[in-house]
Amino acid sequence: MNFNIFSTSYVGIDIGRYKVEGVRIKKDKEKIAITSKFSVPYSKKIFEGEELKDENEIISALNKTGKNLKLNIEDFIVTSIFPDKTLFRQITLPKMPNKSQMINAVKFQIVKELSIPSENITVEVDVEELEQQESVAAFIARNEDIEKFKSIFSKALLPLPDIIDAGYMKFNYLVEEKIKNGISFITFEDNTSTYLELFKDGKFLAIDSTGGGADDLKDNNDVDAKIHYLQLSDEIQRLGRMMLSRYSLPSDNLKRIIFVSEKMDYVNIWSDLFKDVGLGESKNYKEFLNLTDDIPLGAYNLAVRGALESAKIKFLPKKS
Amino acid sequence: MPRLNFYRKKVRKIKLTKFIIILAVIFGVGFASYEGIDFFVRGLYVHALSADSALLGKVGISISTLSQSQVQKRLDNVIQSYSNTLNSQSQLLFQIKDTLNGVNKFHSTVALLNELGTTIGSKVSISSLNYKSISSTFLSFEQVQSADDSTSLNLEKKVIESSGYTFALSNSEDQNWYRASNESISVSDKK
Repeated sequence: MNFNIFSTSYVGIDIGRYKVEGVRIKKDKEKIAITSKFSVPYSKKIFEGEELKDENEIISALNKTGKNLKLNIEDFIVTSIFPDKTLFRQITLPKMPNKSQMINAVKFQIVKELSIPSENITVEVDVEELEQQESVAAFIARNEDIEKFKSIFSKALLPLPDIIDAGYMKFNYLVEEKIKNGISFITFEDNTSTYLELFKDGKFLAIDSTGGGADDLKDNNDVDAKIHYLQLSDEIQRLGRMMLSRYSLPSDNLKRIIFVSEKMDYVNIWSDLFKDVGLGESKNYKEFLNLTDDIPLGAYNLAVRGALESAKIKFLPKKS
Repeated sequence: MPRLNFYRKKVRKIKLTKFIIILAVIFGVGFASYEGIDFFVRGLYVHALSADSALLGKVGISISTLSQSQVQKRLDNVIQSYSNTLNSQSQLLFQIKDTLNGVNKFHSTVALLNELGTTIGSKVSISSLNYKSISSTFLSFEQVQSADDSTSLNLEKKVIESSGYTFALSNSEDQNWYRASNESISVSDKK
């Protein structure tokens, strides 16, 4: 019997570059299971580069997703702003006793660096192992972008999200238990950029990006995809080795590199290209997690992020 | 793994129906707790009063069926009833005492004289007709200094005489006994 006052239903809403997806999961004690999922592709291309040209298309898709998932005021909703709207900085700071002091110090640095008023930005820091850190991973978003994202939900007549996360983090939560040992990369292909996250023993170290993304897959066939990913792979390898060097990490200790994209259709081709490049075991994201093809990955991750807010969880056996 | 909250909603909401159910449960638990505590307290006072249950039973109070407050209320009523009875009986006794003291009517003095005369079997002297009630020495009367209400005094004289007593004045100049000054008026013993 469940005595929780609040709903144990968590909803992840992934407003992507090509579609809006939603996943509802149910948490029962420490176990979670998908109870519903929904995906609405945009009827047309709505991003020019990283610039949103047609907000109404998102609002419409979001409204349909909300209706299908039967969103209500009790649902714990997690979503993420677009990856390009979040800035990452590794900042060296003196040791500080708490998160709020650290955020203020980071804000001070960022304001100096970017010449932007501190009241216009929101700063988040990675507070894991706070006492031991010499430098802190800081993430910065403009308040204007956050408010715009909230207004999209309002316009779609949905409850405001409980959490707005960073877009390039939206694939991390399902894999975090599986990358606890060794050095790992997660490679996320957005529409015009590709992000590379570096982890050591499960701890986030850094993120960097390079040009080139899923928008380049114009013809939607294997040959075109292979050409695209061949070009992208060189950049990813260069970026990966540079990040390893920056953190003085030996490349021979690399355990794995995981690939995920806004367009998952050709990710197998991409991961195959990394089989023998010396950046660890190369895995398609779904293959790494043994997930079925039709699960919206970003939305599923974001729903799990919501469930992770309150308790440790275990995953129920996969449902096909 | 960083958990970034660029926005975090401050409150979580619940549906109105759930809120109403929760309120009902809270009230239900509260009421049940009250009943439970009341049952426990009743057990305590029933145990504490068990020795007095027979006495309480005589005044119509059953501690096994009545709540503590009901028992207290009934006890108050019984005590009030007893108090009223005592008040009324006490008032009557006071009236009897007053009558015995002879403060209401002079005729009582006659009855007392009668009683005393019978008891001591000798002549009793009255020092005054303006009697006072002194509970410890109620037969000690002050001497008449001036007595000009001949009607009432004569009336009293008649009443005393009709009871079989005679009046006599000593050292009276004009034999008008009630006008006497510094005289003693004596009532003879009963013939």
